[in-house]
Amino acid sequence: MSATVFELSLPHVSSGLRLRGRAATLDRNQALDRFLAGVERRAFRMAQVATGDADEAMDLVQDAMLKLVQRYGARDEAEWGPLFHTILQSRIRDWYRRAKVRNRWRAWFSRHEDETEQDDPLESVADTSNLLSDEQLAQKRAMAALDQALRTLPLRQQQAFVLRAWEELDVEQTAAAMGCSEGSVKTHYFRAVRALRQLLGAHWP
Amino acid sequence: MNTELNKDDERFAARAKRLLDHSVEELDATITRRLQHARVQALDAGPARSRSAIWVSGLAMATVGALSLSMWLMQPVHERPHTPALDDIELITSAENVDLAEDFEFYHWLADADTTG
Repeated sequence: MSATVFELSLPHVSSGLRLRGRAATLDRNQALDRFLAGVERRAFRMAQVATGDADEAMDLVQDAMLKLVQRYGARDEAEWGPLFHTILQSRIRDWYRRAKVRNRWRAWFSRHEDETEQDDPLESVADTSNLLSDEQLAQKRAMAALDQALRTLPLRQQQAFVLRAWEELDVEQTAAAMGCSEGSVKTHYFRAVRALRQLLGAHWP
Repeated sequence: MNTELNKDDERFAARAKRLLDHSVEELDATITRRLQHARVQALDAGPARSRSAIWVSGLAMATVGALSLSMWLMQPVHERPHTPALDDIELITSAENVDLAEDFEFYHWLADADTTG
């Protein structure tokens, strides 16, 4: 009621405040748009590496974007990066748990069926040898092999590697995003690098 | 356990980073479009009202309601707006009683006449 009285008595002041508020919201939306546009593609690749599926990855990224805007959009811009990674990694962990349960049931039902052969990552690379240079082709094959190797890592190692090596978060930020201690981050990262080198070392193009 | 990376480890991590960066640039147009669409949808959804804000507004509404009720109850009886009693309603709705009410003056006169006579 007092707000109405205030608005009635000082209409020019209240409309000015309203305009300023609207401008601030617009600025914030633009800032959020810029931020999300800057991280969305990397976030998608992170989720794709983790899930191995483009549609699942898209859902996870969309979910993370929505949560950031809805819950933390009013926070300081500097906090958006770590918060976004925390949300995304948490969504990926949830996805992993669900997938684990799903796979356990699937394995139980198809116990007598033959084990399905794992896809060869190099087979999934489109045969564009006629269009690409040798260097581009080698890069594509290297990426496919890295994707596949990353997928074989335990989730925590995979997250530590992606956040430390690719996203270049420091140990503290990585620990916050992964929801674990800094010591665990160091261990997971070290093991991830060593495991990847071992997996790829011999035939990484 | 020693968790320090050596030079080869760091070179390996740097190469992996370059490849991952490159893979982002290589994302096809469909994925990019879907990501843009997801972003627009998230921004359109806007900030959610926090649970505390919902509680505060609910509490405020309840307080206003309680205050209004107590103010109405606390005002003196004669100031309360007149609400027709059941008898009055009966009087209004019954055609017989309306006729009777019209003869009120006659009854008053009759009563006066009895005392004086």
